[in-house]
Amino acid sequence: MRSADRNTGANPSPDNTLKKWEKPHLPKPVTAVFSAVVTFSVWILIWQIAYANIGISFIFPSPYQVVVELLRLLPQKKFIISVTGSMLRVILGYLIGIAASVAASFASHFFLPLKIFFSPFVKIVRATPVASFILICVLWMPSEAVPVFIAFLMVFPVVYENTLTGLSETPVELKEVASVYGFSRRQKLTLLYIPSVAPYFASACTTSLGLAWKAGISAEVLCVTRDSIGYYIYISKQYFETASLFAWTVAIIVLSVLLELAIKKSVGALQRAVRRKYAGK
Amino acid sequence: MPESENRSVILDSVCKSFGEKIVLKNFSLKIPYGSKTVIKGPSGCGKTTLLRILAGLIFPDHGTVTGTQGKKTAVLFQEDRLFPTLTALENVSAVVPGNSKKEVAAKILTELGLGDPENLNSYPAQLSGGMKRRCAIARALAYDADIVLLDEALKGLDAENAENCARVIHSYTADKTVVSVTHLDTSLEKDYQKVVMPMNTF
Ligand SMILES: Nc1ncnc2c1ncn2[C@@H]1O[C@H](COP(=O)(O)OP(=O)(O)OP(=O)(O)O)[C@@H](O)[C@H]1O
Ligand SMILES: [Mg+2]
Repeated sequence: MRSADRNTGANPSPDNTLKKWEKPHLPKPVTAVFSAVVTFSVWILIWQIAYANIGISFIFPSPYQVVVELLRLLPQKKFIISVTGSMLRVILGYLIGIAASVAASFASHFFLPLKIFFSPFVKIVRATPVASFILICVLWMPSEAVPVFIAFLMVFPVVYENTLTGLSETPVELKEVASVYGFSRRQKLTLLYIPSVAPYFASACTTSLGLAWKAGISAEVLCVTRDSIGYYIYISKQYFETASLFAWTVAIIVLSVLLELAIKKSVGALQRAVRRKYAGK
Repeated sequence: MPESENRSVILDSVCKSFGEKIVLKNFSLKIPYGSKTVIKGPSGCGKTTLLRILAGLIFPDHGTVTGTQGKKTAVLFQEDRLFPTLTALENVSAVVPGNSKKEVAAKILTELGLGDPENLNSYPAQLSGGMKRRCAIARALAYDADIVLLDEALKGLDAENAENCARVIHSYTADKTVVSVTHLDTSLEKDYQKVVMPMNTF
């Protein structure tokens, strides 16, 4: 409501005259869409200018060439198959990573030796370049498994550490209530731990999906995994098909945005479901 | 050992400090089972600390507490400490043993003046200060406890509600051991054994 200060002034102005700061504004979504379109156009323009100055399309394609290439790829069977394959592998690794890290963080919270045990693992995974892991993994597992494992590896430290933080922030006052009144394990889980962990878990899920997606595709490139986005990126690079390389990259970005939207929706739905189930509303 | 020693909660020369600050020094007290005791003293003298020791939430540095082992203890904390994700009814029914938890919880809440479905189904954030207090009281009474520890039980209640809550607390704790700590004179404790806790000046 923009009319809040209308009632408070000592000199209320008649209803039909708007004060200076009450000039009608465009509704929010319209301005948002407008500014997004402008920003997007400016960047495309910069791209086009760069292209015009470089002038070698097999090193740096124009936006138009990339769009044409993308439209050529879209209906192809290999596009559908590779996009599906890449998504399935990354999502599989992601889900395994979430399950494992949640279990590990709860276990670590209640059993210190486990926390000490996991600590170097988490630190090393965080500090090591993904490429090192990918190249090591190629030696040990089939090329289809590497992206799954790498996605897992990206998710684990993020969700593990966030869940642990959430657990450590469980309010002491309520823990004392639970202990005084002899709450069951189930009550402690649903009344103490899940509410404290939920916000951390939700943000970790969103952050780590992006990480897993990018790292998973890097793994596909380096392992030349069949039927994958990474595979076609690798091929495009081998044959200097730069427009195709760009087109695949655009596809990756679009899919990343879609995945993020999907995960935000799912996490929101999950939180609401948990609240409904355990809070009786 | 006299017979009565087996039937009391006994604090023997209890000492408790937080860092340099000495809160309890050689505090001794015998609380027979089934008795009602009020411990009175100024703010900061260590009443809550004593109650936390009785509840087994913290331990004395020296001295012993006997007679609380194996007993179920309900604590009405100085702050209400309700679960924000539970409604008033659910906060209370969460501690009720056995079946028909909701019925037992609703009965006590009704006696405390929160029987309206609108109140029962409100979350703590939607209740007034005095309503939250009554909900916390209801939880302490709904638990099937042997020992009931009350910290500023009637804090923040208007005269009428305070009177009614005192009556309900009496009726639910008739056969229980009650230790109430407060810095006020309230109708709740008028027939309780009085213990004065001086401000430590060590
Ligand atoms: N966890 C703690 N750490 C450090 N100091 C503490 C702690 N708990 C209590 N104290 C100190 O112990 C003293 C007694 O505190 P306590 O809460 O027992 O007082 P009280 O008698 O309940 O006071 P009030 O009537 O204001 O509630 C205070 O000086 C307080 O600062
Ligand atoms: Mg106190």
